[in-house]
Amino acid sequence: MLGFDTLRGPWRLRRELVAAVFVVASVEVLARYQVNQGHWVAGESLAGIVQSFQQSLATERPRIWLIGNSTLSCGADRNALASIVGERVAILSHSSSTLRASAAMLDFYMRHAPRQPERTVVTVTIDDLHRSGYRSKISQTYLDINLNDTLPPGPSLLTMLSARESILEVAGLRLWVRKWLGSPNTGVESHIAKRSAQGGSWTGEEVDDHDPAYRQLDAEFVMDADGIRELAALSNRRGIPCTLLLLPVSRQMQRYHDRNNPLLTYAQVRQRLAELCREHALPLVDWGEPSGEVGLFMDPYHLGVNGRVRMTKKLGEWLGGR
Amino acid sequence: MDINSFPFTMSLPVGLLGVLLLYYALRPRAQLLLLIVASLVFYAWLDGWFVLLAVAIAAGTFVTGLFIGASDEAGRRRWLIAGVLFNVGVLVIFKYLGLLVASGDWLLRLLRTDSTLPLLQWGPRLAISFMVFNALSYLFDLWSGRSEPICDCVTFVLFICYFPHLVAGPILRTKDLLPQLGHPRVVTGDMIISGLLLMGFGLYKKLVLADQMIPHVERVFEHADAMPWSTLLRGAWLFALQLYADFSGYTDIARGCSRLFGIELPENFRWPLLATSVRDFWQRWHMTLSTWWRDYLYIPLGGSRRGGWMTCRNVMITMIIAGLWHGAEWTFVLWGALHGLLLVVGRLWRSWRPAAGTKALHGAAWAGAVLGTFVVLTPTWVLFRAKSIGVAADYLRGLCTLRGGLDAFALSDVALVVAFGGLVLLTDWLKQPDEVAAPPSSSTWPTYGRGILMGLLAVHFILAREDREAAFIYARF
Repeated sequence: MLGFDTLRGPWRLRRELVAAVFVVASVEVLARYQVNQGHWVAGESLAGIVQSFQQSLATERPRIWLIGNSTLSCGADRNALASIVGERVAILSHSSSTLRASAAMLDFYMRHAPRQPERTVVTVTIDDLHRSGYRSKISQTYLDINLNDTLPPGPSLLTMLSARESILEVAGLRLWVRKWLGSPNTGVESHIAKRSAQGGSWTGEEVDDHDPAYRQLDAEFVMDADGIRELAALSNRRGIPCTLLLLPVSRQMQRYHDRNNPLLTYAQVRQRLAELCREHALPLVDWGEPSGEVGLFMDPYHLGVNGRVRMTKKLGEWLGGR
Repeated sequence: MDINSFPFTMSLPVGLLGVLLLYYALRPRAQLLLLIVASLVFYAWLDGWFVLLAVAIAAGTFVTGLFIGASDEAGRRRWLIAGVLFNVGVLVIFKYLGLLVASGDWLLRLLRTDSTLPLLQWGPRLAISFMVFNALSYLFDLWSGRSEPICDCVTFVLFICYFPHLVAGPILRTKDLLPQLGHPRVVTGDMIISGLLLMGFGLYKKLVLADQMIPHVERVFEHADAMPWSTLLRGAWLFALQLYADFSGYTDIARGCSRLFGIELPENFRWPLLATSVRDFWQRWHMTLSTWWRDYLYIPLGGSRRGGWMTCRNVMITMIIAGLWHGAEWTFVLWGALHGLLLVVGRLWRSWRPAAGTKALHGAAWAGAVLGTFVVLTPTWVLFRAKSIGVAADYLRGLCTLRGGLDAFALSDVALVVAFGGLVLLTDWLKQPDEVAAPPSSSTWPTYGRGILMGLLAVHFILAREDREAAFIYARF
């Protein structure tokens, strides 16, 4: 019955395979070296980020939750906000999350938190309302987390994967490579954090109409009404007040949007957003007036250090009812 | 569950390794039984109780084949008709009933009656067309004397249900598989390595290239009525690349996996992106299907033997039915008709300029022909991808009227197509030596260069693999 007669030689080592394995091993060794030297950042896994948020919600039990994406983490300082408001505030920032994804993650945290918030705020910039942009693709991971009630796989054994953002940044092609040729959601915002820590320098140049990164983010804009409807439904279902807060972008971003979306300009998106929020009885705070102060931003839509200070103060006063 | 789904890929190393180890240990006859069990488990895993349908197709065709072999001329014809009706009936019930019902509803509405036909909720079964076409090729070969009746039901069931090609082909003919099942198989170290490499290239094409293109394509096709022409062009071309990477990726996985069992599956693609004419395209794209239609429909209809007009008619009939094979949608019928029309135009061109069809192209002429063919095929990809004729019409209208004007042109649109196309071609170039089971060994620098590029693709795979798996496009056919 048994024989192993099927297997035969020759068993030759293929030279191209040796070369291929050598390349992969070299990149991994380089990644480990660079991370150890502190030149590259090995980001947390998305699962790690979500778990850390869950843990802080469980231990600190804040009454106010703010949820959004990197524009939130760049726009508000948690400790400063807590001191202005006079109590702990949770800032739950998920890389490239759309409004719909933020609503889904809010649902997920509410389901798992030992104490429900008394008030929630979902922050967006207008490109987070784009139904089929790059962010909506990335955000599928968040929708899956909520839908399946499971976290994505944890940290990778391969350092090159954890340091993916740094590798792409070093390649000088970070944004467009990530958006075109590979975009698994690792939940990592290391490049944003790094730029933020460095003070974030932006000279206020106009956004290039053909820049693939921005085209993916904001071109061919289609308004996502589902996100607003789902957020309003979540608020009603849980009986927890929820406010949608539109964050400002630079005038350069607004002009870029208008040039590329003449049928749905920045002003029209704000108007449409207000209509949809009224329709679904969702409170809206519109701070989305484009700013011409270049010094407030680290790029056309992320607030820099100065912008963060000002926004944190404004947020704190608003949350504190002053 | 799909062949590239997370649970499957996680189970694959364990499941495949277990089956392989057992397979290598068994005697040839027991190996066939093991492959049948593995195939049925695989199909049941993917499509539940519909595994019984696969068994029914195998059993019905096997019995019909025995009767064809044992009957006189008149009996052979009767049994052939019975076998064809049985298989086509299965195809109609499990694939085309929805289209027939929808068309009937449309007709009733046209006649302004209030009655509607009951909607059938079950969709097409996984890979039913591939299985039925395997069975039909056996019956036709039997009838024409190209094949002898198979009296061994184990061999026959495996011919129908062999799992590596089950989801999306290649379509097998009796000559492709049966001789390999009739003899003890040998698996060498070279075959294992080249099989694993083929699987790796296939996974890269599917999980990195094809799946990365999905959102780019979806966005354009979902809002086709509002997109400028350059975006529409990008969407159609990216879909062509996505479809090719998806389908040929599956074929590579299937061929690589099968090679681990010592069974060679036929090639299905030979550089179709570099076709220099529509006719050339069909000699390179989904070859097992195009030769199937050629041998079992086009040639029996008369092929090119009965003069120009009859040839054109035969081409049109063949391509329209080939379009319908792809799916129960009118867009596929139009897709086939358009391909038929392009083939007919090409034929007329060659009859007008006989030298044009025979001259080998080089350099700029070759590049021009490749680019020209890619451009000419653009509307066919739109028809293939569009959810309805209305969407396709919107799409093509936007393209033809240059919606948005010349200012809408963006270099990044072209760059995106070139980037993906370049990677697809690079992958095909890298896997060329592994198309055969025993690739030549060489110590020259090109070998190392190839290895370095393979390593870079592996790094790209690690860094860019999609989190979410999308089903293989051809699995629904």
